[in-house]
Amino acid sequence: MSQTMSVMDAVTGQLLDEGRWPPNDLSKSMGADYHYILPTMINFLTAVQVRLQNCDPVCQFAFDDAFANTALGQDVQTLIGAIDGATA
Amino acid sequence: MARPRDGAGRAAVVLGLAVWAGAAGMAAATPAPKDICHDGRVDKHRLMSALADASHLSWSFGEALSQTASPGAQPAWRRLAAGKDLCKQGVACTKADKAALEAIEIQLIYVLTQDATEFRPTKRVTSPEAFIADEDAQLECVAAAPATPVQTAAAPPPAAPAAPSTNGFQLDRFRIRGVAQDLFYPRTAPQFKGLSKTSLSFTSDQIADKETQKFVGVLGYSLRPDYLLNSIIPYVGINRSVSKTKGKAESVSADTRDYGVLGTFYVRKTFGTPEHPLVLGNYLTLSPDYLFDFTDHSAIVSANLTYIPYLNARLNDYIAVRSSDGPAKLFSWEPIAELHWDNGWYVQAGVANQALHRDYSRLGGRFGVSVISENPDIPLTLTVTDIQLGGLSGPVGHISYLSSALSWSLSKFVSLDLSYVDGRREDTAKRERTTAVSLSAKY
Repeated sequence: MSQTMSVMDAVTGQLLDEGRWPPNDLSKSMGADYHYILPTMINFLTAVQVRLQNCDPVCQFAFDDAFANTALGQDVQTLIGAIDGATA
Repeated sequence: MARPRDGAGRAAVVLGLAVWAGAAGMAAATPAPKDICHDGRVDKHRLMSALADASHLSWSFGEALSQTASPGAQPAWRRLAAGKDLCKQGVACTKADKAALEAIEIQLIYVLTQDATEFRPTKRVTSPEAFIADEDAQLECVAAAPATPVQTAAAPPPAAPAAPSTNGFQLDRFRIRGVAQDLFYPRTAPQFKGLSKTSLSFTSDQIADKETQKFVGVLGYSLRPDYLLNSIIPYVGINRSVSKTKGKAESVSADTRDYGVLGTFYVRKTFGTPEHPLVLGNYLTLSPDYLFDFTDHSAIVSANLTYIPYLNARLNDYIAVRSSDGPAKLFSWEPIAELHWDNGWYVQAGVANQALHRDYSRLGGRFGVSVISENPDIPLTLTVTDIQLGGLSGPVGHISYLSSALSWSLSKFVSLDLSYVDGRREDTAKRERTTAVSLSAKY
């Protein structure tokens, strides 16, 4: 499985765990439709980070609060792309 | 190459493909029309078979499903629409089967609700079971849409918006609320809907021949743009209520100004398993404040510490409640729980209520619930909270302050509110009991 697929797996798996899937509208942002705020978005990204460490070999995803703040305005697809870009 | 260590992630992978492809204007995880269309319509049997293949549902599960009796002797492919609920209906499921059933259900919901370009529903249903059972609910196969650019794994991630400048005053860093504690949340936060608002109300009591004007509001400025964590927000607040009864002198029941700074700090701790992590966010706020009361010329310096635990989809976060016949969210609710430790030192006892104006320390919390409608045609928000504080020292042994507000949003920033408060104020310990209808604003 590619890194991108692993990121998709981690993001969507965490959304399912949090009961946030499916949203009423896929095009809406993580903040407006998924009801994340900065602390809960940081919690979400931390959980994604842990899930990615479960990959073989390990994927290292790094983020800061500016990344999380930007994520609040992104839809799921854009967020997956951003996490993929921040993962090594 | 990275590979999940167990099979449970399969559903999420398929879901991920659906999201990825759907947002890009295509549906790569959806079965191809040539495989499932017959006479211009999707053959439901072929569709379910294709989804079962794509999600790698095991042969052994298929056999077990065929051998298990069902109401109305439905064929196995029809019963697949029940998704992972089949595992509760006497059919033996492995973890991988459960994940595959979940993937089938989610992918079918996606096809039914997201207007995939290849298919057009003849009747709007959002539940897989309703779609399979209802003969009027069909998917028409339409000609392929013009090709749209596909974002591939190799494509660079979308560029993040440019970081706002941190130099100079910026209008979007101003926040206007009803109480200082609500300055934490930026306008982009969903909690913004449930926050207190600055309000200016005029009440005319024609029986008592009395007119009342009331203004309550706090203006803050975030020193960091839209950041909740480790931020500093200086603010100024006003609470003034003036009544005039015909033939009598003007009466001022409340007239305070306060100046303070809100500081916030955030640390988090991870629990759970690597496959299902659970993160607890610990949010601390410290707010030194100077409040002057013009009605009795008292002044108090206070320092309040607040602790807010954030546990996603469990505590201080919204939990979605969905329709029983589909994935549409009906409303979301948020359990609210915070711990407060308030400390105050009177620097000026004032000319009245001097027995009350003594240094204090109180410990307790704020608890409640906020409910927001997910229907854009019914923009209602109900927030009910209760502050309960016990006195560690000082003249007032117990603070209880119930606050409730029902809001109808006229826009994101303006709403019509019906509010009720009853109890002693957390900052001045003065009693309040008011019911008000007001036009409210926040920014």
